[in-house]
Amino acid sequence: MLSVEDSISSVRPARGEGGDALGLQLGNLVIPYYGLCIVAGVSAASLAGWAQTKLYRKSFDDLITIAGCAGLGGILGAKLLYLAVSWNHIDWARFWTDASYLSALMSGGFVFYGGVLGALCGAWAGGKIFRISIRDYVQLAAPCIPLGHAFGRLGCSLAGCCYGIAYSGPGAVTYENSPFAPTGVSLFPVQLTESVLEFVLAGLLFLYTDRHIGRPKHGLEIYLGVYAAFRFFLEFLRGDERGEYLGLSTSQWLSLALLMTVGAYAAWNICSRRRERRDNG
Amino acid sequence: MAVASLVLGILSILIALFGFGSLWWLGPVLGIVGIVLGVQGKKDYARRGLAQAGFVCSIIGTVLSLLWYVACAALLGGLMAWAF
Repeated sequence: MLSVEDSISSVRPARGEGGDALGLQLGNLVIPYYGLCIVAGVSAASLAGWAQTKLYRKSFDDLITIAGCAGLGGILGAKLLYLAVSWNHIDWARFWTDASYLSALMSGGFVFYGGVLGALCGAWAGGKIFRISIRDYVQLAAPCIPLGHAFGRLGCSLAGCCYGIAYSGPGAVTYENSPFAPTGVSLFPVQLTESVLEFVLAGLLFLYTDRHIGRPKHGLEIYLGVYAAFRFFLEFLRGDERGEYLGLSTSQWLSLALLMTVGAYAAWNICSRRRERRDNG
Repeated sequence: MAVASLVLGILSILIALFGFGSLWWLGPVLGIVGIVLGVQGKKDYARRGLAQAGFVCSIIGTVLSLLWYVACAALLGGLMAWAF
């Protein structure tokens, strides 16, 4: 059985060790496809955020501040949820005494939904610290989240991680050199499917504006609800280790919780608007 | 804020390029903090140039740090759980 450090180093980039199937080779340097896709996603999301601030006459600097705080909160949230989920597998004695073990733990293991929750908390904290009203910025930035994530999923598809179930129909993919996906097995292209859905969702959110106020009003709620719904179903098509409780994966339980939260918020919103209308006569 | 941004930006670039053993995961974190401080530092006109330099260095450091990710981090976690 591999040690934690071995398992991490086996998927860390090779620097100056010749090429592998995971990335572009420039001389004796290998740049991973996944990293390239992440950088492309962050760049596209930043460009889209800049365009949104120009369109709705908001400060791009404030958007960067909120996005940065959300990013830090996201990293923290994704890591904390991972540590909570993996609590029983972690050797806590080594955590405090062994630097390489700590590094291996900090380098790998993030849970997306922990990142979403952390990002929301980070954005709220950033707004308080730097005295920025985050309501508008969060709504303007909502389409940028699926846009960046769509590029990330393209990276997953190229690297072979987050792979699908065995499948031999149209669009099936087979990995020959991926250290993550099973070699030579025809698989459902679940990463590409999610990527396409996220691009479509991002496009629709860019087009969405509230007709009463002429700008996006519930973009974030729509994104969270729609993403949770399609992620719930896509989980059935995932072939990698997902963890399971009562027949559903961890991500499916979190998707259901998110859907219920968004649903409850929408219901509360509708009720309060009706009450307001009634009170105004 | 401007000086802190510049320091963090340079640190994130160095970590991204050289890794420093077990510290490579700190690169994106320092870079993002540097970006936020750089943006806020630009509001002080006396140190605007320094803040701008910190902002640019932090962006470069963040991008270089992100480039080294090989696969979805959730999967790295899965591999780690398996290794235990």
